[in-house]
Amino acid sequence: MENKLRFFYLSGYSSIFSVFASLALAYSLNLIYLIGDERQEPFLFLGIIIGALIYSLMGSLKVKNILFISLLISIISYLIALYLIFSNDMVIDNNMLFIASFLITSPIMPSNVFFNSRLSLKYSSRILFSLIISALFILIILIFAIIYTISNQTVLPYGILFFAILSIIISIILFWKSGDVK
Amino acid sequence: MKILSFMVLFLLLLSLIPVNSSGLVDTKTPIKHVINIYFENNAFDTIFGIYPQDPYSHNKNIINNMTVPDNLLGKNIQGLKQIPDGIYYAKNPVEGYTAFNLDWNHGRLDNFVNGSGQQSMVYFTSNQFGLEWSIASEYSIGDRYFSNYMSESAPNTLLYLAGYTPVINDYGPPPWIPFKESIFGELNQYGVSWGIYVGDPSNGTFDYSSFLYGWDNYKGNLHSWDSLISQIRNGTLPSVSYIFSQDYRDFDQHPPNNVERGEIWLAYIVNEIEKSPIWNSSIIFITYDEFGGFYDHVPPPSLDGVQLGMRVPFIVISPYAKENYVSHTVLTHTSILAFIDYNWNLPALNSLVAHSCIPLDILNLNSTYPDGIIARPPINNILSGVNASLYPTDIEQNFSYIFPLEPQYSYSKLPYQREGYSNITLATLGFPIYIEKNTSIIPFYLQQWFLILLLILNLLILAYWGVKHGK
Repeated sequence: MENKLRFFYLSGYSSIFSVFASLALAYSLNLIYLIGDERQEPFLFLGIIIGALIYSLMGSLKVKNILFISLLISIISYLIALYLIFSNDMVIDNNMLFIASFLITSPIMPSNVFFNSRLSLKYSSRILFSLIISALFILIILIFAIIYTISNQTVLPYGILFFAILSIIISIILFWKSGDVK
Repeated sequence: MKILSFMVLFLLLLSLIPVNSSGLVDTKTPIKHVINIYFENNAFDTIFGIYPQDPYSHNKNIINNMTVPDNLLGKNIQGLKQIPDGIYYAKNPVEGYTAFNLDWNHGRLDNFVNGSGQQSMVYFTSNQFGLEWSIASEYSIGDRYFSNYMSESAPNTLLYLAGYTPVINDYGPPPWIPFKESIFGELNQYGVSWGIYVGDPSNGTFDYSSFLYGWDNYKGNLHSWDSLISQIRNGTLPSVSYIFSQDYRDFDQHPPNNVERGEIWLAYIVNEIEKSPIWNSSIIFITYDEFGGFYDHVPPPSLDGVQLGMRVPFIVISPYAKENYVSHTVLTHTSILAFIDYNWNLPALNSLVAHSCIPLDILNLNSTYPDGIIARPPINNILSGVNASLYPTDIEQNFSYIFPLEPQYSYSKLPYQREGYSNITLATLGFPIYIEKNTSIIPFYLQQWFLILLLILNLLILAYWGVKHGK
């Protein structure tokens, strides 16, 4: 039971941390301001959905040095996204936006690797863990996008700050509680 | 003798008090009232694409002698369509930084269908814009007036108000612009009166006041359109006025709004100014925030390192505006700020304003008309045949019968050419700069570096947690 509980709150926290990391990086590089053309939204969200699923599932692989590899993949993904966007003067077509939004979800991979390593899971459970993380990630991004639109695009940095504080508080609680749940 | 000395001393002291009301600060021209009227989302070619050719006109003689701006006449643009007679609005093209840059396509202007969509390839005629064409033909227009930034409303409006934008698209605030760095801050500093006019000022804000950090201290400068009309009539309008058409009653001509509502609203205000005691000391600048994704055939240049957006209409009304004049001067929103600074002999608001051409070629300040005067009298027939109102509703009227109005002076007897340009800027005139470096305000906890710092902190906590407790 305790392990099941850990399974759910660690998957929940992993998705929150991934949202924070993805949004903070996108905000710091001004990539987030590319959003605005309603015709591009299907491509944007398709990239996020597929990216979240694939990167998350990749994080469930049992490979030697997977944490280091996943960090490397995440960094390379970001660099490719940056190159695609800035080599086109931040004007990117639908296909390019799909690829960029796919790549920008890459922090979900090392996050998944790190948190599922805290649990002793069978392979099927690792996949379930990844699917839960990606589903929550997509849901949170979708809700945040709706709130951002309703607010006339004024709450972006406040939203990222909220996720930052939430993520740090939970990580501190996990740190203090880790003795209990180990 | 004592009383006389006291009076002299009193007058001396009085002369030391900074002037802060309209008309008391010296101007370089006879203009004491700059009145800016702001519409939305139309390209120059959308409104003036086939101006002055009116297929329905009753007076071809006048039309055939009018100055033709650089527009669509004589050009065959594939896919471009006239908005049918009897339709008084356009469908809204896709807007945004991405869409507009796709339209522009690095100056090739061949990608509007992929950028803003098929609905961008349209233009109006005198059927819809006969009233605005008539006003324009009596005064001056600019056919090289570009929106200030290749993006949508927020950055362009901030450039219109502050000569600077910290945003590239319609998001925010944050970031905010310090109030003192806006044109209102500068006018305040130098004692030049100003006012902003909107449909409903009851909550003390206008569309972009939220971007001006410190606006709350200046809410008293926000007035209603009704107050505008009162101040025009009694001659108490401030030196610089900004009139925003944006309102729930849809006078802003933003697609898909009925454009004739905005035209009548505009004509009503212009007519009131012409009838008022301030007419002889006024200039009205009418423009649009940005091109809205509509097709325009002139590639925009860059200015002081800023890529300008597509052309938008620019109409200048004044007793000193040349009749039926087309200015080819490269102008943009910061040119209006440059004119304000020039007129009141103020430092250029910032570097971009200093390097923006001033629309001086439009003005006739020296040559006399056949009747021996320099300042033209009002045109009395602007609203002829129009059911005028400050709050027009449900207008669907073929306006081509209005166009053209009879010229005030015969074109052949005008003491100037009816087209020209000017390269004069505040920088070339040696004006100093008021704000050397613009800033934007974002609290540290919302800044990009701080959020990345929090991310690093979060990673360190997790790393420590991982190392300390292992698996």
